[in-house]
Amino acid sequence: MRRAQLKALRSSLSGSGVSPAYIRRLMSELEDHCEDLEREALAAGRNSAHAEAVAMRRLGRNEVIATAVLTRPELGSWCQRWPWLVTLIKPLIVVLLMPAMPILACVDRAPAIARWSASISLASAITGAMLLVMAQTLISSF
Amino acid sequence: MGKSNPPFMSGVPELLVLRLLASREMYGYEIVKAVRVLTGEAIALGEGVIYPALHALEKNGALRSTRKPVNGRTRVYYSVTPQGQRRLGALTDEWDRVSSGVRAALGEPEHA
Repeated sequence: MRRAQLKALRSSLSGSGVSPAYIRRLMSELEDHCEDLEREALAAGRNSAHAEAVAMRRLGRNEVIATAVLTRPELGSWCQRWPWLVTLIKPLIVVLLMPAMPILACVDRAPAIARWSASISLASAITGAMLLVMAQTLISSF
Repeated sequence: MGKSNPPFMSGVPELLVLRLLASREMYGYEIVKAVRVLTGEAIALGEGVIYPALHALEKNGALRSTRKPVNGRTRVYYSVTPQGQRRLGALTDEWDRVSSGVRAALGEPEHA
């Protein structure tokens, strides 16, 4: 139950544009907190299933925690905090990357291009060798 | 468990957290527990929401955090910075001003 609830919170925050680094930190502290709450409930004589339920109830609903994160702009990713900067930078990056795209595409497909070049070179060498043999045969026959 | 009272809670968790951490460093679970005990459970913070509050205070320079290994686990301890001390002073003054105003209003006889 605990894992499922925290996983749902992680997905919800992730989908809202919160930075992955911050989500990892929050999740780690929430998991520790849950463990402490469970330990407290177990020490009070509850069984493990009940202790987990108590811990999750005291931790609070996912929507409340997510709202507490999303209403604090200082906790958002830089894209969330400075959307105007993203609007400015995105087109610049695209313009700078455009000339490099063919090179990047070639680098990305380097093994295929190498295989293709090798087979073309081999085919050219074989054809050249055959033509040479034919030419020498013709010359020697005269 | 104490009732939560959101309309009156604006700024109160921040004040309580700074006040508690001004005396010694604590980790999240300890802070929530201390708030419940010190306020006689009159103020029950949603336990999960303490972390965004702590992280925001840290981002704003009022708190600093340090990781410490405790019993094979790593706990994040929070303590108040000089900036946090100033913020605590300002919030305490504000709280005193508001609460004395409310007390005066509640103590006033009804006007005809």
